[in-house]
Amino acid sequence: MDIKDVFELASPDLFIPELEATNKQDALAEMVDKLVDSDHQISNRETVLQMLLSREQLGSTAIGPGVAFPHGRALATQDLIVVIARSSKGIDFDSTDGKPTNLFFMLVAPPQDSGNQYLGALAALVEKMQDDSLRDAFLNADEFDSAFKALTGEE
Amino acid sequence: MNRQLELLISIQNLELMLRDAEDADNSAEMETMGLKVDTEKIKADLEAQIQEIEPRERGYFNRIKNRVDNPVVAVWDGHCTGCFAGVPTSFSSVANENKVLHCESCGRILFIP
Repeated sequence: MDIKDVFELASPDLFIPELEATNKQDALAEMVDKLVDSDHQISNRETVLQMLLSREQLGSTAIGPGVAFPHGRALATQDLIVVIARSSKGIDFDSTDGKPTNLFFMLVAPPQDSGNQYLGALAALVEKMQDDSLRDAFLNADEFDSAFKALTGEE
Repeated sequence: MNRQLELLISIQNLELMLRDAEDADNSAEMETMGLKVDTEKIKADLEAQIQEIEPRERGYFNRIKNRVDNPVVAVWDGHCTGCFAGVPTSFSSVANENKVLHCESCGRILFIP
């Protein structure tokens, strides 16, 4: 799976250009709310939020630099869904380097998925976010389309 | 949502996490990404949550779990996603009465996502 495939799983209605949250739990809740407000037929926010919080308790997904990948499988979805969010001020997400986190890629996967899309999408995002220039371009993109172009290099 | 049902869903989600963590290929890939989780920690969290379930529900959960890998499933399009049997239309209204409901066909614990 490449980054274009991953972005097909996301969409403008799953993009938060600027998080209002100032802490980890609120950031996760805001991203889950975005998911619930979208047309993915998920009405029960608590079960998804609880899954993400449980995962974070096992070790932070803010593997840096400045990027977190909250993720996990949830009974509440039939499709792999990607929510993308940014915080220009940065949020304490218990990152491995101790620095604030500015970019968030939340992946919520179904219990079963053919070809393990979930892992492929996560790997593609983690790889892309290791590139300093791509990450900076993404941080400076103010809309979903420009964020997409920043990561894929498309005009 | 009923707290017992929330716990049962959370337990099932942790079971999925454990399944992935115990898969050698998945685990190796996660480790490469710096996202590997300790299976012992997942098991400890699972056990702690199982102990929070009321004895009657826990007994039922364990009986179903002895038969199937996924004792808790979602209802999609009016069907149990464990056995795909239709779920009565009254389910959603009854579910609102704060009860843990079961599939009439396979016995799995159901919830509306």
